Amino acid sequence: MSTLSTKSDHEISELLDDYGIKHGPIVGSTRTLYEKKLKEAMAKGSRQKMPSDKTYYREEQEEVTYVHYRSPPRSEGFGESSSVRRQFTPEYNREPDMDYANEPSFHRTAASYSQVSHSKPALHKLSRDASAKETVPQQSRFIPLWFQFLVFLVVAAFLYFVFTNMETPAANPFNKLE
Amino acid sequence: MLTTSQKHRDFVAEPMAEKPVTALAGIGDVLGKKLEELGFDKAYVVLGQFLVLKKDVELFTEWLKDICGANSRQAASCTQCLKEWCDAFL
Repeated sequence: MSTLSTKSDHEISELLDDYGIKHGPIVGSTRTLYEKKLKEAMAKGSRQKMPSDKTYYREEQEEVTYVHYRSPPRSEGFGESSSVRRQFTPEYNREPDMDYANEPSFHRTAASYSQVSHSKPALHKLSRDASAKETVPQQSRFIPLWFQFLVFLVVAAFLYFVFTNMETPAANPFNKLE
Repeated sequence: MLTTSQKHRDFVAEPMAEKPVTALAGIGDVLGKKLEELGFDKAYVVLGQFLVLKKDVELFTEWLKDICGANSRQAASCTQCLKEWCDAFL
């Protein structure tokens, strides 16, 4: 594997196929180019396997986020999945945490909103959640980020609308004309 | 679509026949001389290389950069020029 120049044209051709490099015939003028491409591919060789694992990882991530939407005690399902993919646990821990952190915090703010009459802090919390959401790095998502953000804004706007139209407890709804 | 140069349009308008390698878009005097020294003295020889690389734009661009030191823009121009010529005449 170390000296590509000693290999036959046929061997070079086979190596290119192994690395999935599209190529034409190995002739005098193309030889150098293909040797160079093979050297680059071999240097990346160890990293070649990772992306395929990552796709598997992504599938798992999708699965887990699906579970997120359904059941609050996600730590159970989380523990199961992490035992399968021990190598990627550090990364795995990070991303679902971030994804999950956004959803329940939103639910929590909705709950706190219903309890407290002056919920202006809740609005600040909502805006902070929006900024936290944006700092999450762009990855392949089950639901696109822009859509999540849109839904979030719609719900926030709806809640704000309800809040502003709320009557204070002190006000007497039964206003009689005197 | 990128705006094409006059050189590009001239080249793509007709069969290349015996045009020199400097007739290719992106290939000026300096690059042309280097290519000629390497044996690619006519445009059709460079075409030959493009065809041997199965008209793959990326491979040919890379090859051109390696062989004569063309920069990305020059290599892209030449590749685009040859590709369009092939689409029209090959």
